[in-house]
Amino acid sequence: MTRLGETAVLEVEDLCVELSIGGRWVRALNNVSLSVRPGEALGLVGESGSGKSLTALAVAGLLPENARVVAGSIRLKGEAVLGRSEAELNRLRGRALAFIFQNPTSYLNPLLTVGVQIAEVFEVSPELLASEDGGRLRGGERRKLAWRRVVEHLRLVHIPDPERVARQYPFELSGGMQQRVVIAMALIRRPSLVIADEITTALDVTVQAQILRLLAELRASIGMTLLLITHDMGIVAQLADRVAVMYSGSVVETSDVASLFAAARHPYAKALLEAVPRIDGNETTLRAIPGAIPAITNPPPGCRFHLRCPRVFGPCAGTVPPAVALGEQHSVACHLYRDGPA
Amino acid sequence: MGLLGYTVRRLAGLGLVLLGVSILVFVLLRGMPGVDPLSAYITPGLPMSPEALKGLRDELHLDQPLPLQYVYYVADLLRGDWGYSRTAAQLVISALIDRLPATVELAVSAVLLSTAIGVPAGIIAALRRDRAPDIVVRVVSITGISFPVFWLGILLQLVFFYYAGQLGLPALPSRGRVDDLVALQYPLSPITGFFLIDSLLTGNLAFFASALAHLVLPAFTLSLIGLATIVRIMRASMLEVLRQDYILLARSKGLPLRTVLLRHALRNAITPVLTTAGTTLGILLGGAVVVETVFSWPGIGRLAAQGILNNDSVLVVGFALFVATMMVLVNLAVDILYAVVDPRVRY
Ligand SMILES: Nc1ncnc2c1ncn2[C@@H]1O[C@H](COP(=O)(O)OP(=O)(O)OP(=O)(O)O)[C@@H](O)[C@H]1O
Ligand SMILES: [Mg+2]
Repeated sequence: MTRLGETAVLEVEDLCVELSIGGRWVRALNNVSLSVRPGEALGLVGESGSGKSLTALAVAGLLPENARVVAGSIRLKGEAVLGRSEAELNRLRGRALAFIFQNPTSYLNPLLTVGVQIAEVFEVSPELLASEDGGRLRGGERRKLAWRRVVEHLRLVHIPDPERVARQYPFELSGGMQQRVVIAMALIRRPSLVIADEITTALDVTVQAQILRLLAELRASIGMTLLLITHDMGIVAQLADRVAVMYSGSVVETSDVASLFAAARHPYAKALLEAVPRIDGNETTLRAIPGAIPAITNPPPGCRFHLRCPRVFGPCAGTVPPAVALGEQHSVACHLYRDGPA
Repeated sequence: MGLLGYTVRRLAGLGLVLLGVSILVFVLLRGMPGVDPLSAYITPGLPMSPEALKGLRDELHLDQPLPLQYVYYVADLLRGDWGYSRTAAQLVISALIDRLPATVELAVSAVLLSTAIGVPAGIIAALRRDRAPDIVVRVVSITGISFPVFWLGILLQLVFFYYAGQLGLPALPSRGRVDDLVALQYPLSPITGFFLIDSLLTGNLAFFASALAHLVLPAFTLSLIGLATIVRIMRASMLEVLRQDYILLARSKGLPLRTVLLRHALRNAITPVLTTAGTTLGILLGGAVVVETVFSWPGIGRLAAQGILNNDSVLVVGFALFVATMMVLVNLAVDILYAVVDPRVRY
């Protein structure tokens, strides 16, 4: 659980990212700030298009070619991410981060066996393959140990017959098994931070539940730190300690999960909670909120939510509301709370 | 289901294709209305006695109904009796087989050359998209595709043989497979029929050097046929693969760019190039008629060109059948290679 004062694993401050769309630079992330502390799981929630994935990619220095960071800072384990060379970034990514993405089928290389794709992380972090007594191993022994580790980790994510699966190609596995492979691939490096981006969206409902259970179990057993991206408040409730709610490129509310569920402040966060999809359904759109998230190429002035907000008033269309602290763990960006807790 | 089963299934399909080709060829030879099939077998200006004509008709079963003739024809083909070529003064099948190594040596060199140049060029163009290297590669390959090959061949001969010779520079040979004097002085004992391989196997380095020098200009000229296509396909395929999610995951692991490109991107991007290179090889094996003629290369293409000029339809038809067979075999080889690279194909 969160302990204050400890250095954050991830610290994002006032991150602004622009995208080149149709020859024009468009703001996609506006002053995004969030932090993940050791051992905790931060849920990053918001509708499709709110900028969750861009935030995650920026953290790893993996923004698409047509994106640029225009302001802000990102620190991973205290080290700045922005302004690094590709080689330095590679080292940082290899040591500190692991991704689990949405659709395992497209994120696994179709032409390489599962085992090869997992084992290649040892090329980046050879120290993971030190022998039991800490000595250096020679080629053949290293390969054997690497393979043993791969099989161990496939077993850890409850893949049956891991020796065989390690020799299989992704297309020979079901979606759920593929996602377990990606999870094993992430865990084998013992990364400081695991970023899980909508990892159950592409799976069918029963498999979703299994993967979520696995993630909860792994958090308890090996204590991973998690940035959990989802548009599903149900998953947040199940897995996260704290939550950051994003809307149209900005974080509108940050809170611990209990307080958010008990008393969300931002009208958008409230609406999201009312729209919590049941785990048995695929319905994830926000029926509670009329209208749609604005296109980033043509955002409304002022608060980006004001056109859909049930509590819109005077200043909303004029100025962007700044984030206001409501408590040590709670902040909200909304004109309703300009003068502190309402 | 493994690679073997896949190969067997493909072989079965291959038989069907050849059956179709043989019917087509047979109809061209015997079934054309208004053409006496016998004319293909008679040398103009050399009158034959009625008895000889009768003997030929019987031998070709020309008095039988067409379907039955076809059965005899296929039986002859299978026995290796493809008829006699006036042009080569040889049985058609021996004429083709004798000249096959020259053609294969040239075609394979050309395809290897266009792949060796085209793949890296395509990769560089993709990685430097819309920047100088990409634009250079694109312009050069468009230009390359728009030149007629025979014209380029003659131009190369002019520059590297004629002008280089005039200026006293080392000139590249422009005719044949090997220098006649070298061949006399250092005779080659044939093993495979491929000059480069045989001369290396027997340690005949003088012969090897001469054969290699003779290969340069025709192989380069011929490589231009496939080069532009390979560059364009490699570039497009690489760009497509670099957009894929698994590249992002590979990068997110902290793998160095080299590994991401070579292990993850190239393997996936190369498959369409394999197909193109294979198809090009198939075309060159049969269709290097122009380049072989321009460079007096003693291969089957040049023979076919002579056959056409000579009205030697037995040879031309045999050539067509031969080329079709090779095309089919090359396609099979490409498909097997494809299955080796991509495990999904085997299933
Ligand atoms: N490479 C890109 N080029 C152009 N627009 C992009 C690019 N990547 C993202 N966007 C746009 O930026 C916005 C934020 O995208 P992002 O992928 O971060 O959203 P998200 O919150 O992850 O949504 P989802 O739930 O659909 O994954 C969206 O409007 C998206 O269309
Ligand atoms: Mg996303």
